[in-house]
Amino acid sequence: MRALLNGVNNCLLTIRIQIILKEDIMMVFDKVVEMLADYTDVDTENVTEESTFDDLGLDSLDTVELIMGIEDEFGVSIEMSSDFKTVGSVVKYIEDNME
Amino acid sequence: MSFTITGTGKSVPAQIVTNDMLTDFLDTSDEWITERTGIKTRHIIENESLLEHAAEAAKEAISDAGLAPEDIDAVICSTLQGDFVSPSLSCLVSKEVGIKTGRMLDVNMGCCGFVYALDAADSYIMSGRAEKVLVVCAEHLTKMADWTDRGTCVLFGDGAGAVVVEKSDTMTDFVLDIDGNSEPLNVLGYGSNCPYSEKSDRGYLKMSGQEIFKFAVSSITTDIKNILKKNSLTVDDISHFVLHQANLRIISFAQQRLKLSDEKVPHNVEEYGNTSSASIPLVLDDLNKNGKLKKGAKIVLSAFGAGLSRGACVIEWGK
Repeated sequence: MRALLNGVNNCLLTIRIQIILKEDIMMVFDKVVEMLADYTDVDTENVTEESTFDDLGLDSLDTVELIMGIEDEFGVSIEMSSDFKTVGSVVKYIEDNME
Repeated sequence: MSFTITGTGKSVPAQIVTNDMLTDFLDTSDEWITERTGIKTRHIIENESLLEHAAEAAKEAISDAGLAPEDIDAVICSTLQGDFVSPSLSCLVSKEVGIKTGRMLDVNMGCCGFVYALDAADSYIMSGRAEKVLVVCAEHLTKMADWTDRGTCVLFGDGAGAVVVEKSDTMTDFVLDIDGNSEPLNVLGYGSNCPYSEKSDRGYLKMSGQEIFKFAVSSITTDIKNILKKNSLTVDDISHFVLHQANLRIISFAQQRLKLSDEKVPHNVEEYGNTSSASIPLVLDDLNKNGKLKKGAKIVLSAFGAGLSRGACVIEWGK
């Protein structure tokens, strides 16, 4: 019985952590989209994780400027050797490196 | 305390190449180039020697300083490569101009060459070895670019800028740094057909655009903040911030991050393109000849380039 309760507790805890992480992920995504607004004419409501910077009208240097702004905002350091083609790729990088 | 600038000079090729002219053989456009770089024209050596431009700039700087060639007691030439790998450009310029001293050297610190050359001039003066140093930056970059690569060849131009620096009690300070990476920006050598070594061909200039852009903006921002802090100065104390003229987007973004006004950030990359170490002295000459600099004005220079190298300095104008 106790083992069963422990099992349920752990499960709920895991679900709770996943929800919090998911919320964090959403916050990072929202913040990146907010910062994108300075560089694109596209309505930010239409931006998804699959949106490419190319589609959004950012040239290669706009992308670097955006990434430098993201570095300042999230306190991460981003190597330009990584290939950032989509909004999702940047969001994932931030979470993987954010403490 | 060590030196101040007392004269400037420049010489750029007569051949001017516009963005539209490049579309004759490159898949590019004036719009693309202008949007990404701000560059509209570049001056390109046609059949004259780089020495001619270096010597012309040198003579102008010496005359502007109110001196004669015999008064110069050290020469530093910054160049990626002169007309010859050897002898050095310093030797050839000195003979051409009529300079008598034997104290000279060429410096190759990429686009940072002018700042590093000033640092070396500073040490000549502080050690008492010289009092009037000629610094010439002469670049024939277009011969190193790959003119089939539309991403790089459109960026570069040729030219020479020179200054005379003289011993003084005014302030100078430098911040310099390198990381030793060749991958993001390099020009390979001229190749070999030696039967005892691995065969190699010449290589053209290669650059990782996004990485260099980021490095450039970070360097300018950090180095300028550091040089000001080190010397208890603020942006308001500085008359002009003269940045290496690689790309107008770099200059604008750095200016934005440092919150500098337009009057304090002169640029001529639109006309000359990226002339490597000659770019800063070309701006200084423009400012000087247009009467924009007052005696005692504090100027901050900031450059970045292959090495990857970075350097900034604060100096006082002496004319």
